[in-house]
Amino acid sequence: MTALGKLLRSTGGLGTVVLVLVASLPLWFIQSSFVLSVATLTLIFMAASLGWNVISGFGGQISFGHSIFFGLGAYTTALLQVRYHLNAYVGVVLGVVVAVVLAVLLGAVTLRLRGIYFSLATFALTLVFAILTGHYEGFTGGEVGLTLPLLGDAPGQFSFDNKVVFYWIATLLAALAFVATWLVLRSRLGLQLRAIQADQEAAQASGVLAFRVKLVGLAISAVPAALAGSVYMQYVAFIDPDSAFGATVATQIAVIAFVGGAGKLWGPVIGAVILVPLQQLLNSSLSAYPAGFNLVVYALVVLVILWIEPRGIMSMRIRRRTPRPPARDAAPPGDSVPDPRPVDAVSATPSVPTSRNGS
Amino acid sequence: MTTLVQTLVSGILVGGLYGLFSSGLTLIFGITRVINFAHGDFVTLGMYGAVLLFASLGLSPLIGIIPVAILSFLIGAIVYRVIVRRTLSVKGISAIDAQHGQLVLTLAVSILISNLLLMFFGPSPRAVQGVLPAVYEVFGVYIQQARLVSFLIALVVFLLLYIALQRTLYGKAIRATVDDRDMASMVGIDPNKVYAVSFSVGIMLTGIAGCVLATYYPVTPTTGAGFLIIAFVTVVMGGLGNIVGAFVAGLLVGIIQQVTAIYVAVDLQDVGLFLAFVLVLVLRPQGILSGRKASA
Amino acid sequence: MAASTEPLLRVEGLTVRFGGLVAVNDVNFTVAEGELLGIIGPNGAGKTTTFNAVAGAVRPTSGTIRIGDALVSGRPPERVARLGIARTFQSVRLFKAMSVAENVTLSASTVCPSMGASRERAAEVAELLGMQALQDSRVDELPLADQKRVEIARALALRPRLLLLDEMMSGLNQAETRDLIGVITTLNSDGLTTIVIEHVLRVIMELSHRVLVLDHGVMIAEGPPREVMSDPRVVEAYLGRSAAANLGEPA
Ligand SMILES: Nc1ncnc2c1ncn2[C@@H]1O[C@H](COP(=O)(O)OP(=O)(O)O)[C@@H](O)[C@H]1O
Ligand SMILES: [Mg+2]
Repeated sequence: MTALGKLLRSTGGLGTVVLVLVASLPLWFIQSSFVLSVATLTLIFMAASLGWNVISGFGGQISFGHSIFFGLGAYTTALLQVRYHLNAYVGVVLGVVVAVVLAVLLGAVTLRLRGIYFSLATFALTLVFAILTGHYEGFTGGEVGLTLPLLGDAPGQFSFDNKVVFYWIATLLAALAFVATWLVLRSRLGLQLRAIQADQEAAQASGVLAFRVKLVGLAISAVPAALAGSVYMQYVAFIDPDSAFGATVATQIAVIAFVGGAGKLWGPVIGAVILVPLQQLLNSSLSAYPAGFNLVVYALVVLVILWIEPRGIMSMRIRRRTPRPPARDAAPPGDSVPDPRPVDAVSATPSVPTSRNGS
Repeated sequence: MTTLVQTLVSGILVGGLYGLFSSGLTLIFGITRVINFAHGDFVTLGMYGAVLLFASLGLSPLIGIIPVAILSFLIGAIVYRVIVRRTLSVKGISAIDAQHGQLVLTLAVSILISNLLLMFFGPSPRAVQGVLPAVYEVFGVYIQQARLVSFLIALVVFLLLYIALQRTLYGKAIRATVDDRDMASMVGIDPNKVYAVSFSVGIMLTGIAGCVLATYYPVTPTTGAGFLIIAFVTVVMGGLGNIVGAFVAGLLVGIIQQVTAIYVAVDLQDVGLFLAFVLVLVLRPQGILSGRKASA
Repeated sequence: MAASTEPLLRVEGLTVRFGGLVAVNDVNFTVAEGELLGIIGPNGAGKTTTFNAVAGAVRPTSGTIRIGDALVSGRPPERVARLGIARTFQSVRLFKAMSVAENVTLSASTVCPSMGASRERAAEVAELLGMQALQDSRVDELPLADQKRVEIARALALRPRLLLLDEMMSGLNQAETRDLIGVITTLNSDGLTTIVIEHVLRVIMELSHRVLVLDHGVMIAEGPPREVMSDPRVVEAYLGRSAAANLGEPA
């Protein structure tokens, strides 16, 4: 309860307002099933990207392999139902377990790598998962993918006729992921991850068990990604290797956070709110645009945002004509004195739509 | 035995092209430290260049090399000037943030290129048909003319690059920058020029590799993703920034791929490669062909 | 010199090679509990490499390092830090974009049971160094002298048994140097065993109980400051070159 109280007071105050607002959207704003679906997917990918933010945003270990955990969540949930006829909720829980175990195993190998090497290794590994899932079709359904059996309205089996329920589940998932990353950020783990990001040698000289901290960070960050995969599976009822482990999902989870602001608590939230609707709008079968157009627009939007501010929207400054405070004396050579004015302001969100599935 | 020799020969022939576009990537990374996530798509761009020139003007890819090379160089220069330079000029940005910015920006360039290609050419595979159609048989081993000629071109272009790096003023400036960037700028080499030239030359080599690869390799808008990983595997195996290493590793990567395809399963040919990649990264991050110790 | 029966740090036969280069060559020394040892030597003599070996950042090619009964050599730097060896870096390596308090709390967090205790420890250290006013400043906005203090604070938060200070005075003006000498002396007289690497001889003369001279990785002299300074080998190896000017006015 004390944690909750603190949450409500600090960033949680804003968080609660946003949560109430988002949860109530279907009651007063979302009128079409298309918009509802866009909103649901936005929240699902927001959750995955919030998870990514723990190891990559706070810890600075840029993963292009969080699709591994997303895909494991989705496939575990699906396979347990299709192959073993188990309850979907068992699949959700086991999906998390499988993802965390693999995070630890893969992390034990890849987290010894620094910087870009870690990114490349995780990217290669997710493509390995995609290829293997396609190859062992007897079990996984191969390239054709897996479709969930139609169960109709069966809340006990994680199946709902009313799609608003999925929206609320996705809202809950994103909210939990947000709270989890917020708690991590305030904790010893978060501080140590940030120190590793800033300077791993200096962190180790201060006694930080860097490898272990990164491993724990990766394991934690796999949980929201796996849950996102499970909820996605139950919601869309279809998965194939490419939409689970492929390069598009792999990079999308990271790009959402980068556009919003990697390492910033609200970064993945803002990134998802801009990018996922962008992806869905032009990608819907309703559109008459040629194939590829959606992703061209998506890429341009990402380019423009990051061209303006490579650190993402959360780092954009509102230009004000206040005089600069006098520079302090003797700043270290090579380091410009940063503008000490408060900055984390969100500028107007661009409203260009796009999508990036199925090219 | 014949199968093995056939596998090795196929691996080496395609590996020469891997080596060429990977030496482009290693040139870019070794000097500018930019992780070019769009690298594979520049190969694809070269391939579509060959397809387009052949389909519209009837121009053989062997001649198409020249316009493709010039265009690739220019595109490289623009991408460097407009996108990469930008991340370095933002006020108060840290080196790490700048590098992450480049990573995501080049990733967006990759999405942009592959989907522009999808818009204009559609999703189905395209190829340059009927150029260099002969097949030679040497002691029971079959060698396609297109593969052989492509390999030879890759080798020649690579040797030209090597000589240019050894002999020309820019080449010397580039090598000086790889060895010690602070020292290089102290002796009056303008790093910005060196960066721009090496980025553009790197993309040019990549475009050339794509152009000749199109003589036998069908291209789709998404072909680039595979080449991206292949290029990174190759560059890491050869030792980052090591140009000769990249070319030799390219041959090795071609062989690993072919051996996996023939002796394990065709659709798993990249799994062996990617796992080898992760192992190389973990066990010998300085590359398997480099004697130097890794600095990263 | 502080008299003590058992040395706190014992370095035996320390050799560090980088490929063909022998950066540290068969160096032996001990540091007594409560002592303040100075290490001097020209650029590239192997001083920082010796520190790196003691701190676990560089693996010795051969030789052993012990603190108390515990073996240091062969352990990773984070374990060495937890054994009680804390260090600063020759070029300041703070966690940029973090506040002073966060920088210090971070290292406290590796030895304290909770975040609350870590924050208390950080506040304690800040008070000890008189930095309370700076707590919320971002470290990369501070002047160099303050950044160096934060590095000391970050090291102290570990409750070290041994403090390693690498060229703290470089880049500081006279007044700042004087301040920092005061800080180091106070910490040492409160019982903290310290090794300082310095380029400025005046500082070493003033601070150290005992001085050790390295040249080309070899220890060429050792003893009380004044004796060492008049050793002909030291004069030739060191003073003859870079620091003759400093010798003119021993403090
Ligand atoms: N990580 C390293 N790799 C290779 N050579 C190094 C490394 N660290 C130091 N050296 C070399 O070891 C020698 C001693 O360096 P150092 O200990 O930094 O000297 P000092 O601190 O006395 O100036 C120098 O020649 C330096 O170039
Ligand atoms: Mg030094």
